[in-house]
Amino acid sequence: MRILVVDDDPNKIRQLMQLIRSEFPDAEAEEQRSYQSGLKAALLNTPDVMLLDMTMPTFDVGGKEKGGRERRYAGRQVLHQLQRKRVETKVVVVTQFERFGEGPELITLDELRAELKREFPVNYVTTVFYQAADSQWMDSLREVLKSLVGPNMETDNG
Amino acid sequence: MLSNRAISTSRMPMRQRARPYTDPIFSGQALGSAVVQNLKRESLALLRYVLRSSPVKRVKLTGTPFPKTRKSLLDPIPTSFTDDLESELCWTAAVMLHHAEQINCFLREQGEFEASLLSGDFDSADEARRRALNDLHESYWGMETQFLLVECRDGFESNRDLLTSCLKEGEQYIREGCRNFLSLFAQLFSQRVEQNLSVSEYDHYCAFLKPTTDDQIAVKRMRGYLQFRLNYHTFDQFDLLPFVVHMEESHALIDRYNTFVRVLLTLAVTDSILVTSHRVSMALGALVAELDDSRLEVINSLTARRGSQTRDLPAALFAVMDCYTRGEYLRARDLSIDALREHPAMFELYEISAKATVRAGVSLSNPFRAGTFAYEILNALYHILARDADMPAALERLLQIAYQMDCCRVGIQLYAFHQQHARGRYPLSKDRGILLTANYPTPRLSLLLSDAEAAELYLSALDSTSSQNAAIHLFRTYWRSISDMSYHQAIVDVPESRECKFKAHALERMGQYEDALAEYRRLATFAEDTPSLSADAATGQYQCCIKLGRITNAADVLAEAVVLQPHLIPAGTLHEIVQYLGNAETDQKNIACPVLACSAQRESLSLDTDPIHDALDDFLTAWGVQRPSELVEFAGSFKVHLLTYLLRYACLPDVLDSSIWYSSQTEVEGERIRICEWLSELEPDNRDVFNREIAELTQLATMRELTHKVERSRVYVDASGIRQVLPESLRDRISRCLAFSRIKREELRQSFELSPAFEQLLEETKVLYIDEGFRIFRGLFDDIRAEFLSSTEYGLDSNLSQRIRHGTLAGEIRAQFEESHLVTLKDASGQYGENAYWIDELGPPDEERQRMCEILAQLSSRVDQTISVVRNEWIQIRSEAVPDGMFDYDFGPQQLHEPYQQVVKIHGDESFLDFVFDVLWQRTDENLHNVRAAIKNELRRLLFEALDECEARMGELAPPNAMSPFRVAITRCRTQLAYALESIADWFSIDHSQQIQDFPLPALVNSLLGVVSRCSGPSRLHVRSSIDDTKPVPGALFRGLWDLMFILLDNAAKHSKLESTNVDLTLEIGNGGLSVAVTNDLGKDVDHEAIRRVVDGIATPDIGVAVAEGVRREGGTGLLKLHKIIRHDLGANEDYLIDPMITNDGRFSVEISLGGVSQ
Repeated sequence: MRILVVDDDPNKIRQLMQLIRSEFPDAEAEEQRSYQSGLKAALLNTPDVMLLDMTMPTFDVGGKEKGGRERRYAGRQVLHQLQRKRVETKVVVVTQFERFGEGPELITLDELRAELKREFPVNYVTTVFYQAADSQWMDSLREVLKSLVGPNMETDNG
Repeated sequence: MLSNRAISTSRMPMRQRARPYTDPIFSGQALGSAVVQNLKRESLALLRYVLRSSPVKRVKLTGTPFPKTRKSLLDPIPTSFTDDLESELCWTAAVMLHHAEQINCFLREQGEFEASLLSGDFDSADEARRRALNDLHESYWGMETQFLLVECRDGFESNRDLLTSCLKEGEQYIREGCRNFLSLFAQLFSQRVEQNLSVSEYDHYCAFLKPTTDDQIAVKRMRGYLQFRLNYHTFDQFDLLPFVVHMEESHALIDRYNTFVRVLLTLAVTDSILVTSHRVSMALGALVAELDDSRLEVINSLTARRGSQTRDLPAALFAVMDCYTRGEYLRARDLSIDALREHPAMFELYEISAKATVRAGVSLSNPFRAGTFAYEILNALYHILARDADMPAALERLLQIAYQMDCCRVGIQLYAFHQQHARGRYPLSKDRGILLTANYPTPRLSLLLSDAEAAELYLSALDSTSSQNAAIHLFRTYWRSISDMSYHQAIVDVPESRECKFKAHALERMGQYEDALAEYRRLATFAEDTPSLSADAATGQYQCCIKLGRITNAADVLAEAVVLQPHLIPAGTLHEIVQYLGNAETDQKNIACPVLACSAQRESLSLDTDPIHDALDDFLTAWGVQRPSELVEFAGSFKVHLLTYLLRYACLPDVLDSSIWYSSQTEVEGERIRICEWLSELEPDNRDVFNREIAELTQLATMRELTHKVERSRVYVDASGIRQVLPESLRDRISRCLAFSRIKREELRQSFELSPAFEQLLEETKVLYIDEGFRIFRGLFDDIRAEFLSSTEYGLDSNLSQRIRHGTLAGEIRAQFEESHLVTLKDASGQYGENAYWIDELGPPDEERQRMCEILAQLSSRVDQTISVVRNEWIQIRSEAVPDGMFDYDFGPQQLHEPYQQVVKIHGDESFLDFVFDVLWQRTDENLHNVRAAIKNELRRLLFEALDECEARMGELAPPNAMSPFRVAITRCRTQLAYALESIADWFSIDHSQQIQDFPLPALVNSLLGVVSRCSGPSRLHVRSSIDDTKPVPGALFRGLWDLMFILLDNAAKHSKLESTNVDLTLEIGNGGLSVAVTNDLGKDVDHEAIRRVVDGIATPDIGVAVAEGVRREGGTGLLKLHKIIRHDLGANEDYLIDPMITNDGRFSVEISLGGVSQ
């Protein structure tokens, strides 16, 4: 199984990669840190599963690159592009936000889940709420990934 | 249908039927409520009889039609309410007919007043107004026209002066127990006529007038009435119209009449069947016969199916229409101008004059004095009909004039015209709004009729008064074609294009789309240089293609149209075609797809670039390329104008950065530069524009290089992003705020508070007065602050949330503890997992194991709780819900008064925004200082205490020799934590996106010379430079210096008239100042005298006017802009010298020295 992790928070990436390595040692895991590099990897390498942050800079930050504009809904834009290009990668959004937007545009995590499910029925799987101090998100993500791996992968692991 | 009672009484003599009403009146008794309601339901003839034959004045049945004082405007309503619009209208019609003579007098003088006002003859307007009011005395019309005159003639301060006196008068009446109408009307009249008040701002003021679902019926009706009177254009509660008519009974006759006509127009426009009811039709017929108001005639002629006889059609207007229809556009233009001079209040003439000018392809000849309403209206109509670049501004100004002139007939006409063109009217759509623009029945109004028979009746009536008119004939031919389902050719001589247009419309209306399409295509061949015809041809072809299911053809037609002229096709149509293209299996190689996606976004002013990216990406993929610049090898496959449009407007950095084929901002900008270079070849006329863009992109890249900030700073507000999304109306409010700040007499800034409960506003005897200027300032400050803090895209809270609060902060602090294995994670039940690492390391006896586990779990808990407090309580915008938030942006009235006092020194909206942002940045700085201190001190204390306590308690339980590694871990954690907290505290410093570190001058000059060699020409520059690199230059000066030196070098390349030009550049910094010298060769063809003349004006321009004018102008040498750059961007104020000259050896030299910049 090939898993792509797209997130701009190094601590979060570290924890996600740890989880993948410990739970799915045979999985090929790749990490990307921005909307652009994440989308490019998804379109060119078509991973089986993508763990995707919702808010990210446009480009990888580093060297002289400051990251371009911040994309509040980068995750949704990635999903939109996958759908448009008919790439069937399964996407799990892993976010640290409980709500998105402001004022009349404010939506809760549950509303976002429902919206993404409706808009991207082929790619979107679910959203996992990440908190640095909790292990619950790990349990949730573990379950989701296991359900996505399917019997073949479990046989491989076993 | 007549009621039984009506049938039984209809045969009685009038006198007898009137007795139930006239008898009490003769005996001086007021009629009871039920009797009045019955009276209002009677026929018009009986109503007129009662009014004519009984002393109704004695019982005040018709209120006070000619109030001697303004206090009488506050009298109660004289009759009872039927809640039946037909009855209220007929009653009012009878009263109007009863006073026909006075109304006709008023209409004559009102016409004079409007004509004089429009053409800027305010003295004549004032005289006409006085004559109109001579016998009619006080009225709200009189009051509003006075405000309008004063504002136009004497300015804003006089308007406020008049308002102050009205408010004082109103206050007096309130003390005497009257309702608060006078103050309310005065205040809103005063605002509505203001030059500086935007329409949206006025609507905002009037929002409280809008009836709500929670309103009691009496309040709802009153709100409805006031909204109709004071903010008609937002009125949509048509069920309240009966009360609107009824309420006006308490006011002066002319107010009552104006409202009555407006209600009738509203009914006619909304296609209400009421206007065709027997009673209303009768009333309309009588009114048309006795009153000299052509607007009534328009309504009557369109609603009376018998083809009413029209009278006195204005010969001048029909002559212009005739010429126009026959294609004699220049003559039509000239005739219309002559007619406008004589009839400046006839709106139809403005429209046809502008249309004729556009069709003739000549520049506008405006017969009015610049600055007058008439001048502005004709100008605006011309730009709107020409659909040129000034169209959006023209629409905005037209709507503002419509509001200002709401008390005039032309007000509602301007509004209706604006609505038609702002919404993008398709010629065949049955838009009844056109009716509001009419003063007279004209042929084109026949399009509002539902069938050919009615149209024929209407047009034949026109024909009988203005026979042989080509326009009438053309419309009759059109309708006869519809009736026969076969096109008849016009007999009169009309231009082929006009006949073609009518034929296409007729065929389309008949459903013969293939033939219609062919006609529209033919029409397009006539449409060159005639935007309105182009729009008709393009929209018609589009509609027919859609009906025939030819989506790609429809797209091609519209793409051609939008590329040739922006604003030609309304945004709604463009979005519609983009939708069709998305659903259909279209050829992705068709350049029309991305062009239309781009145009649709541009026309709707949407900032969302995703639809453009998707269409562009599909297009590039279809051509097998990744970047637009790679299309160069296929350039021959596209029409140049489509390709140019695509490259110029769709291939922008904000669109390209969504593509996966770029991995950095630098790559995106590099691609845009390549595109600009290509565009320079495709559109040599716009080379300067593209070169300027290349220079700006290079400047951005250089700035990024100079920032040396690889880490994204944590606290960030994109002030320039906020500026871009601030609504245009905010700038209008700023202008108004600045206008108030300049009023010296404080009492003139007073207004009465419009915000309290509606009921109180009308009835409350105590009125709260406020400083209107401060109120506007506070409103502006609050709105800008709200964007600064809460803008999803650009604001502070969003930034704090994304970059700090969620995860990053917790991760960074926790990481210091995790590294030493001191904390564990919570499970689903909220319990911390056992710290197996230290339990194994310490190996406690079984009896102590449980307690150790608890102590370590408590440490995890305390760390997470502390993080939670910092995240959820400290790093928050302070509010009622988060009182401990450290980002405190509360500004009490006292704190705002100080900046308000400084507003008087500000000129222009950009400076105002700078000023408010400065106040907010200053407060942000203070907040950040407090946050940094709290992290370094309070947070550090809390976390260290948790560590100390854990260490001490573990020490009590663990064997002393086993504790050593634990103590080492605690100490290491403390040290790392101290560093981490210092680092976290540093997140809380302001990162202005454009903040550049101090930089060496050679870095700037090298980048700049690269741009100049690529963009500037025609002369190639050979630059010998002497640059002081001993000390860095403050980062804040980067932009100013770049712009300044670009102008100097670009001028050398442009104006030296040499193939290759030697330039000597010297840059020095020191002693608190900076000096720049650029000297270049001049060709022998250069006119030295001309240069000297320019130079004399530049060295010491009349600062202020000259600089302000100069910086707005494009082209020329741009040298005047140097003053602006030096004064404002480089902050030198007056401390500078510009010395341009021609040297003795015939070279051009500019030396600039400025002080106080290197600090």
